[in-house]
Amino acid sequence: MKIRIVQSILADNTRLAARTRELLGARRVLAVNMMSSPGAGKTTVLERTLPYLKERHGLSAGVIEGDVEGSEDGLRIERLGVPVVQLNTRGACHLDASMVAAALEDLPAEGLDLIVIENVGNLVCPAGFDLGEDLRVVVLSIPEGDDKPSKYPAIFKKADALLINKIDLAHHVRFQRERVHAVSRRLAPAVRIMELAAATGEGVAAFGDYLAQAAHAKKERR
Amino acid sequence: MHEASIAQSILDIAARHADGARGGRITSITVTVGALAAVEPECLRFAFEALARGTGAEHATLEIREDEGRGACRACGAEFAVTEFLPLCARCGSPEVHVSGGDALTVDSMEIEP
Ligand SMILES: Nc1nc2c(ncn2[C@@H]2O[C@H](COP(=O)(O)OP(=O)(O)O)[C@@H](O)[C@H]2O)c(=O)[nH]1
Ligand SMILES: [Mg+2]
Ligand SMILES: [Zn+2]
Repeated sequence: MKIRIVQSILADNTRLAARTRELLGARRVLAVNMMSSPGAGKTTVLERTLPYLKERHGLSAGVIEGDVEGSEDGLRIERLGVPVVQLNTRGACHLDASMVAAALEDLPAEGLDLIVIENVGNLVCPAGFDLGEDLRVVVLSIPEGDDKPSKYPAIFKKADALLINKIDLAHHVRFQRERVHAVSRRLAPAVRIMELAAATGEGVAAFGDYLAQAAHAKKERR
Repeated sequence: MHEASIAQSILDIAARHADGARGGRITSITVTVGALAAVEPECLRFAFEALARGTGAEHATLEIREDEGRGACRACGAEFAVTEFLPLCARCGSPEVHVSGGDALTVDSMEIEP
């Protein structure tokens, strides 16, 4: 006997993501999903950007740290005095909406203006899983090479912002920035591209201002 | 290997519908996987077979149908089917192609026998 189903495979994830979006919408808290390969500099970018957001814009962030194992990154964020929940996926290569929904319960329900979710380091798997975020930020670092957007197009296609990190190393590696800009724009015509060196702080303010603007826009949304 | 999560979701959906139809052995499950869904059919099949072991779908075959995206050339206006993220216009060769769709991931139907 044939049974017609016609259901999205990711329906459960989509439903949980929608619930998170509703919850954070009611709280007017901006949610950011940060994705990159391991080591591109997501945690370092947060270490620089979150204090800037607090000092320059008076905005408080909470962080959900996704890693396969360990709590190093969670501890790095905690040292900033920022509320953080460490999620260990125990092998899973991406975060999904149920993990994020559970982690949200361990962050303060009040007093936060934005929540940054640092996804598991991976340029493939996180792309398909909606977490309930408002913004998807992809980080690509110079040593990874300028061919990454064409080799891993799915994640770049869904990016609202692209951070090209470690520009302090640009002199040491062959990396054509124009190529990255051009291919990312073909994949995501509206993507906002920012170049920075999280390690030195160069370009961090521009990213911080971008997040601050989005956080304010969400507060004013009716 | 996010294909493992995808395979698990397919099995969960199939099991729910098999229960609704009062059990029975699942002999095949048909799914659509978009060419731009970033899911590798081979990885999906591998994960499906591994995860189906010991379930009501143990002997089910997984039929995978591909779904194409649509490209619209910004230079010449041509419209055509696409299976790549960075296609060139099928008519004029321009890389300025707006791509939509092609990211479907659905369970379409299954066959069960009593
Ligand atoms: N040279 C340089 N190194 C950086 C920069 N940003 C991060 N790193 C280094 O890259 C490595 C990985 O950074 P991390 O933030 O842990 O990456 P994550 O895995 O994406 O969270 C660390 O050794 C950082 O010090 C940068 O702008 N320039
Ligand atoms: Mg990290
Ligand atoms: Zn054309």
